[in-house]
Amino acid sequence: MSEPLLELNKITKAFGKKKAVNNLSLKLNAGEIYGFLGPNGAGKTTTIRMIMDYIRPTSGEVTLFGGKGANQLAEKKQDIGYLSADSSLYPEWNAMRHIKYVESLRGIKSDGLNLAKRFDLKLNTKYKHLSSGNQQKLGIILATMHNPKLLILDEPTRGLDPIWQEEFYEILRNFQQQGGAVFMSSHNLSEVQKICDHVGIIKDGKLVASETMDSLRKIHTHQIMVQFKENVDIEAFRRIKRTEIIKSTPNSMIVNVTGDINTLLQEITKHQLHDLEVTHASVEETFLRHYR
Amino acid sequence: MKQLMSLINKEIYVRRWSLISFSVGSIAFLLLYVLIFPSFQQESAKFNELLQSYPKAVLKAFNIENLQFSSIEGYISAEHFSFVWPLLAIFLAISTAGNAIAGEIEKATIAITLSMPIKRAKIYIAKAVSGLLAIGGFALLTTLSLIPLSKINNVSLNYNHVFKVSMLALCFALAIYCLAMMFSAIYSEKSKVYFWMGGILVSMYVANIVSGLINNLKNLEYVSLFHYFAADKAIVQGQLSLQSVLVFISLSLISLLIGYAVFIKRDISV
Repeated sequence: MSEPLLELNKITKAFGKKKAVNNLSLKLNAGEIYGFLGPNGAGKTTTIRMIMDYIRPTSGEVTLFGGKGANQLAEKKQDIGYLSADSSLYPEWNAMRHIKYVESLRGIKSDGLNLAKRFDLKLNTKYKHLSSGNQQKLGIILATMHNPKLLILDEPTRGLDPIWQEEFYEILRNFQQQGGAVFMSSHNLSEVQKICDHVGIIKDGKLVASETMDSLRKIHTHQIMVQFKENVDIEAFRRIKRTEIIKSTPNSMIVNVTGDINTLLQEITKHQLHDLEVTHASVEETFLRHYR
Repeated sequence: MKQLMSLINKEIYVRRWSLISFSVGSIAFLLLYVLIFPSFQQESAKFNELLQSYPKAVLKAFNIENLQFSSIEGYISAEHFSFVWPLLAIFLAISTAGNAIAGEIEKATIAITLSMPIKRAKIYIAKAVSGLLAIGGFALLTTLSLIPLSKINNVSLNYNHVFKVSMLALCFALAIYCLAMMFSAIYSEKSKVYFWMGGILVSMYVANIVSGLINNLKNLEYVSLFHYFAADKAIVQGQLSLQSVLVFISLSLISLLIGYAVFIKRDISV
């Protein structure tokens, strides 16, 4: 198997006594998209800052393309595209100047102008006059325009409307097909479900779960709310595997089902129904429930 | 090398307006003094007499102990190099250094540069060099422009003395800039750079005055950069103290090295 593009080996970052990231390890291979989920303050951005060598781990190691240490990590950034959640660009510069600046530092002629056209971004408008969505588009263009091998994205679709989000997913899918890898943090769970192959959940600085999306689907939880037209034997539903009845009355129930829902649905539809609602538990809820 | 040049160009480009406005302002002051001087010269005896009556502390406060209002050099020294020019140079040097690192961290604009395949050492060197060029350029331009201005207005001037004050001004401004760069590398908010530099310079200014007033505290003047910035001696008497130049250069080098050591190792949360 080829060497991982990104490897975090037991990294810990302490700010005083508080450990923002605690003994976190993960690997990312070429062609993978890794969704990094967690509530605010969980340590997502701190982890990403350590990957980018903006901050240094208190202990543990970050390895990018096989390189370690500040000097090697700096060189490896030639093959990395980075989009920060908090960064702002130069307010007085327009998109063109930003693109030219990045090209001059990378020493390349990039695809930036074509990407700007694809994203319908005006090149001569000052950054401070762009809408937040257009500012995010420029950030995405600067991160992807040099055809990197690895994208590190901190909440990349924040501020983008649904149409441009889809456009961005398309870019990521093409990037993945060409062998690129993506490490992205997100609050948008449906986005993670839509495009990621691998998902990690960070909570209080610790990676509490790391699974492939296929595994996730196996443990994915649906919540089913059903109201029958008549009283039924609720206990019969309790005997179905991987179901958990949260609440019930003689003619209604709320059930959580892990994995395949067909068995339960077949059992339910043997009765006359008044109402039926099936909802998805979020990836985060699914993980946390599974690993609790 | 191309990366370094791109970084230096960018730094100078983003600071260009403050650099231009401070330079134009300072040269405008010089022009004003050169234009006023002929009429002032006619009354110079009265001014010299008035100045003799001033308390020593006042003259020390404005670094104007060797005054000759009858010459353009003495007049410029009293009006410009005693207070206005150092103040402009200090503001420009501190704001340039404060914005170079701490300001960029504060606004998070440094993230784009840090995400490039460039070592931190190179980023620091580029920022330091661009500031040295900008502040050095300001110091030379705003002192040496006295020569063409005096020529245009037919005012007789000792060019050798102007070169000497120019060298002193260059060293002084660069020392202030380098000290501020050190704080800029340490902190993530430019207000902290301004706070420390303001505190240090005001303390040095007071120390310089107190040393002239109290004999027991005479040696206090050696901790003040204002003591070494004897522009009046340079422009009026043509004396450029080697000690002053060495102090300014040493302070500049030490500050830059400390700033470098801190910047390449520190966490930058952007």
